[in-house]
Amino acid sequence: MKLFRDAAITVVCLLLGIILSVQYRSVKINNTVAVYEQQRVNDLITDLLREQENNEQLQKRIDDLQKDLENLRTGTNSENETIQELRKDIEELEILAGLKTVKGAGIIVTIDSMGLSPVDDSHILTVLNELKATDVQALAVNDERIIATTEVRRAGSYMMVNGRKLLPPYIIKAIADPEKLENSLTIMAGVVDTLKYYDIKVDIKQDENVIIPAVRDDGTVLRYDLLEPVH
Amino acid sequence: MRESKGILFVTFVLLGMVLAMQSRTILLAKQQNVVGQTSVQSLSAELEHEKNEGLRLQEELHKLEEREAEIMRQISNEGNPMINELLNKRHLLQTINGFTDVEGSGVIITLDDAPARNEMDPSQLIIHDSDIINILNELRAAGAQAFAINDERIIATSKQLCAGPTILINRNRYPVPYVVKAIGDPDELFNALEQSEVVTIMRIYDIQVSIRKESDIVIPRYRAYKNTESMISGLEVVEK
Repeated sequence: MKLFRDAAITVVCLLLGIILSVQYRSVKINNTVAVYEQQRVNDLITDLLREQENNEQLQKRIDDLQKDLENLRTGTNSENETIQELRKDIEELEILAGLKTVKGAGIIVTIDSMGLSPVDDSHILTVLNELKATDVQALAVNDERIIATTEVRRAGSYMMVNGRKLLPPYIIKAIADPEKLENSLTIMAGVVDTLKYYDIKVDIKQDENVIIPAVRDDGTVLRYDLLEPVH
Repeated sequence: MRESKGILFVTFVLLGMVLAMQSRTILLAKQQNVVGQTSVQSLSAELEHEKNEGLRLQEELHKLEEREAEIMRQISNEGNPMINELLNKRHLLQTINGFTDVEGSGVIITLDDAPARNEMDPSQLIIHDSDIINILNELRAAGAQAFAINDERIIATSKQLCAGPTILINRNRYPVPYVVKAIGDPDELFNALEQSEVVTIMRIYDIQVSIRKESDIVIPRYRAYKNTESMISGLEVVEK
């Protein structure tokens, strides 16, 4: 009788233990799944909003263009107006391509090494990428304009940018909303914190009149001779 | 005797509580899962729809732009040759800015995460935004003139952000594999990448990197539509 009761208690306790551990595990897994799911939903909502905004802008541009076309066809637009419109397009494209020296509100970031190891190209590239993520409109490192094909490569103690040698300290100029630009770098555990860890000092100054020079126009930076149009 | 009855009582009370809790979490989890899944599914469907709509609008816009240029050329041929000249200049600038499809020889790089291995930190097996940034940097240094990641044209202000297991390029999110296309001198681009630190290190971690030379690479124009004006709204031209 006593043996039977002891056995029963043992079995029950064993069961209880197993159930407890299963319970613990399933709660933990459920939590991870929930967090992951929430992240996915958030991403989807962000993407969706961006896509909708993009489509609205596209539709607007299409409507404008249709009006322009109508005017062209009916001859409402004089030749002079057409020429003026083309000139405006060209100027805008030149500014965007970095062919003009530009001025605007933004920030000036000074990067220098405090320790023994020099500033690395990856440090500069990280800063540039963060600034690009903040919808920057013009960028330069030591007054070398950053365009689509600009490289930033360390060679010993200096940096090659647009095929030109740059010496530290590296001064990055960026034009866009100064507050947003600064926050994108100083955010907790962001670029500034990371670089500090590598003994790199980052100094940020907001400026209402940041001037960024045009891309060097000697045919070595802006190259497109290998690009053929697609028909 | 009394004592052992007490122990039994407590044990069974506990067992009952645990069972109730367990069944509750299971029920709850099921419910949550259903809610989560439907919202993910409907959002994905909606996103897919918007994206397709965007592509359709892009196509329409592109046709209108071509039609406009055509009419302008006609006007130019009938009267003012200046219009033709300006049209050509505009087209060249659009090409420089990455707003036209271009073709040429170069390299195609395919990147995929390393196969999962238990003994390694998973963050070392996946491709990071810094890897992509470094690869683009090598290509730029080797004289590439146009590039795209998963057919997203890279322009001066394009960013590559790591967002968990996907990468955000221009406005779009992409999972692996990543396909980087670059137009330039194929030999120079190929050699620069093969000898680069970034590719060597990725290969040590078993990340799959394949690089091949290719002629007739087509790189599409920048798709994330924004009008030029809004991309330069904060810039004022300084006359020299």
